[in-house]
Amino acid sequence: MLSIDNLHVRVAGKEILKGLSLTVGAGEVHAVMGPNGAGKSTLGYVLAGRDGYEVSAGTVHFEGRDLLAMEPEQRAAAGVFLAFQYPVEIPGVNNTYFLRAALNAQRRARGEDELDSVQFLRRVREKLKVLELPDALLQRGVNEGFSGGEKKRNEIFQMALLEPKLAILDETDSGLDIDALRQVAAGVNAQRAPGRSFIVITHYQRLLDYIRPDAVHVLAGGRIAASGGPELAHRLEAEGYAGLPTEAA
Amino acid sequence: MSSMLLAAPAAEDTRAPLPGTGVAAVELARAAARARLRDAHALADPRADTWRYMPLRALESQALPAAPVPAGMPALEAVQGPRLVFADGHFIASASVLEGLPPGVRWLPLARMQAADWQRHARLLEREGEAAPDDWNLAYARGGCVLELADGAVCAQPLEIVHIAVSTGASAWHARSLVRLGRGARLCLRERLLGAGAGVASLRTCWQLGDGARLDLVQQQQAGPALRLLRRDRFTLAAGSLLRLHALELGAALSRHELAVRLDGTAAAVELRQLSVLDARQHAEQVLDVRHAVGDTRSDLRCRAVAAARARAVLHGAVRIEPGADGSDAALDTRNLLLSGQAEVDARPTMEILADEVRAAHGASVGQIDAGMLFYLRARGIPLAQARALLVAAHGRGLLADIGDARLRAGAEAALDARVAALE
Ligand SMILES: Nc1ncnc2c1ncn2[C@@H]1O[C@H](COP(=O)(O)OP(=O)(O)O)[C@@H](O)[C@H]1O
Ligand SMILES: [Mg+2]
Repeated sequence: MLSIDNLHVRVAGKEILKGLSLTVGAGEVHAVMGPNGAGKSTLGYVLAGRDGYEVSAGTVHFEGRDLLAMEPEQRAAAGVFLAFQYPVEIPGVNNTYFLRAALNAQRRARGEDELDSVQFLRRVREKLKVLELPDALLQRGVNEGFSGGEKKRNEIFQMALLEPKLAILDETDSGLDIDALRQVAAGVNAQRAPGRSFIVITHYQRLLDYIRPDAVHVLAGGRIAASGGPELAHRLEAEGYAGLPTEAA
Repeated sequence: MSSMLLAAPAAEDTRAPLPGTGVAAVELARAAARARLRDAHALADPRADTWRYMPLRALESQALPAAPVPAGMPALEAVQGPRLVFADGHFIASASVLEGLPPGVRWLPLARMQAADWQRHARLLEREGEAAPDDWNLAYARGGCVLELADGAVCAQPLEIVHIAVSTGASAWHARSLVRLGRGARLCLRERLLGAGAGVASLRTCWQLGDGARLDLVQQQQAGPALRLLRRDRFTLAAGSLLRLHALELGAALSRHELAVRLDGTAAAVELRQLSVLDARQHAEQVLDVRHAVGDTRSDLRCRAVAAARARAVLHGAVRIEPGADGSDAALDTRNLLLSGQAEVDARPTMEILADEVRAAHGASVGQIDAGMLFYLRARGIPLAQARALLVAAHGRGLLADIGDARLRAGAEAALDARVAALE
């Protein structure tokens, strides 16, 4: 599904990722953990195609295609979804309008029929239920005036609606209380499917009690410094990131 | 320096004499205006603060005959209610719907006014401002109307006045109107300027709101890309009256819109939402002159501009709270979006506060499309051009959200979206 090989990324002239390699198979859930500033969000942005994240070496292939050569919207249509660590407020762009524009743009790009408003709303209702998001939020501007938790749940709601093949969740658990965390995890678990993979970026082991990963990786020193099963997350929780290489030689 | 523009039109159109021809008071006022024009040295003093950005030469470089009766004009959409239609200033009865006004509401195009009407509405024969264009308009106005609401008259369904610029030759046309709302009267009105015509046009309207009156006005300037346009709207608000004005500035090569608002009675209030969307080499100036003449009056002015390509948007926003106008509340906010390195926005909000216990706030900002918002939309699959258009439209849409009439709101949003979609 996704293979990242020897990825080097510079941000504002500074090398943040220094030879990161990671392979995610179809239907797998990979957790990526690491200290603040390790480059976890950088990895998410680079995969989603944000400007200003300069790839100086390495390759990323998604279902055999050169992901780095694609525009952000092409990546989305191909099935890549990034749940933002800090979802952006866009006043004046109605949330419902935005969701429908996004869904239909992706469908168009894939050569599928666009959904009319009845089909679209039926789909919205269905997905809203799982996340217990109030209907009223749909009538506001995108993320406008949403609480921190509502923003995070809205990201997962968008994921449910867009049905990506690869979802990258960037600290979707940060700032959530335990109930919201359970809802988010339920939203994610409902989406788990043989053809859908996840990269779950998190700072805490807690989320992984609800979303069971197939593999856990530690991002430190600009690369994957350690990999293992769920037990690695527990070890990190107990011992911290000390002892892991912070600067690659 | 003598301006060609200020000279009399090369030839009066004898087949279509100006309204009021033969009425002594009208002839006198016009003669005086023409005399002042002959003595004027220029269209305006280029050193005057509110004229400093205006490319006056673009207006003064040619002699302009009066626009003739148009042979044909673009079709308008199906009529939704009463409306007056003018083409190059000529009243077009066949496209207008004069009937269907609620009780207490009257309107009359200048072209149909009799001597007694001119006498009754002598205000039409006074200048709307001190500058040469005011005399020019007074001397040659053909289009426009008188619209009157008696005390307590309510016109909730929108009326419409449409000006269509037709002639693509070098010519000039002018319209002036007088709109009066009696005590407690309510009016919802849309004014549109349409058509592909070129040349120069001037519009002058005097608006008078009586005690407790309310005017909901939507102005859509959607002229073609070659028109040069000089507009002035002057509002006088009596006690407890409310003016809600949504003004869209979308077309014309060169446009100057002066909005003078005088809050003359206690608790009078003005809410202005002004939006310019410009590209190519469009130049649009908004000249706000808002005066709080008495206390406990309120002004809430929000102006936004989007400038693409080599366009230039200028805002002179002057609010003055006169001595004694204590307890007044004034807010002036301008937020602007530059879509190209060659576009320009000059926003100059100023507040002069000469009273006590006043609440006053003003702010101005100029920025570009937010990269974070753009990426968020694209990351969800929305293509770059569509994402940009969404964000540009969003910049303006916020100002249209409080248009009370749903049909007018949808119309304004559609005009904005179409303009944004066509941006260079
Ligand atoms: N847009 C940016 N401009 C400058 N530095 C950045 C930018 N984005 C990230 N960085 C830097 O890159 C490093 C990694 O950041 P980030 O990927 O956000 O880490 P994490 O998500 O693991 O906390 C940090 O040192 C951060 O300061
Ligand atoms: Mg981060």
